[in-house]
Amino acid sequence: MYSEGQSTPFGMIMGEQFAGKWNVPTMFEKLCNAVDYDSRCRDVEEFNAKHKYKKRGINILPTKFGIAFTAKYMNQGGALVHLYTDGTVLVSHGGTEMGQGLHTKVCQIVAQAFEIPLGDVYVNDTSSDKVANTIPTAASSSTDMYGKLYSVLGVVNVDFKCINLMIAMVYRNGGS
Amino acid sequence: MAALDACTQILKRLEPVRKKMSESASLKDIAEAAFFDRIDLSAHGFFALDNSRCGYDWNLEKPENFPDNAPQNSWKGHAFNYFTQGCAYTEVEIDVLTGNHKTLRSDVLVDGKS
Repeated sequence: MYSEGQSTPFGMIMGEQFAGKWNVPTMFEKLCNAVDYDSRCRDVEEFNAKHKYKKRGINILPTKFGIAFTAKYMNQGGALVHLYTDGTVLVSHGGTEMGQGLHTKVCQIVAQAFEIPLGDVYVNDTSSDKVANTIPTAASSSTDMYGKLYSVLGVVNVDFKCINLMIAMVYRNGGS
Repeated sequence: MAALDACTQILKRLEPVRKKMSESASLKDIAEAAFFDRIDLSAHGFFALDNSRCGYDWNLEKPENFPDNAPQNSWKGHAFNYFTQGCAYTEVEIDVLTGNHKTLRSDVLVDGKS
């Protein structure tokens, strides 16, 4: 795992001014403590020793994923917003919705900006007659480009201390 | 940022109208008033990521005056704007005879507001 100040093979340093605050080591420790990793490892070893045909495996994994296109010209995006006299909003943007929820996120961002319910925001199918000359919807960067930039570096006046660390119990059944 | 840029443009145009109306005026009231004031209620938003925060060329040769203490390959550009960060924990169980398998527990820790 990278520690603060270390560089990636492509020359990005983990740290505040270069790649944003580096939180993974803290998060890793936090998750280890939250799930009580060491004692669970012992439980698994014990289980595997006792059971011949049922075996358990356990793992904890840190992750980081870089956001941007390496081709500079691809880091751009457009959107078209209409406000109607009935107080509803129609938004079109250059990103493709393919089940990943991009339209939903863009609508939420628009609803927040106008301080209106999400139901009052409509989204149009992506088309070059609304937003022309688009780039591929890829590199996990579409919310940043079409909706709103959430990165700590991209937004001014963000309080670095208020970055939310959230634990989500996503899946659990029949655990010991 | 493109949609937000467009919203901000419209909201800016609505501001003088909003000021003339009561605090409780809804967006519908404001939009209606703005329409009769002949204010453009449409906007095209655009966003381009800061020049210094993207663009990477693997084939770029190391410049002669490149400082020794700078990281290797950093002369090729800035590959990413930032990193998404997270951790995941999983516990699984398999039956070695039947191949039956199940996830007993997964915990995901994600850093961010997005």
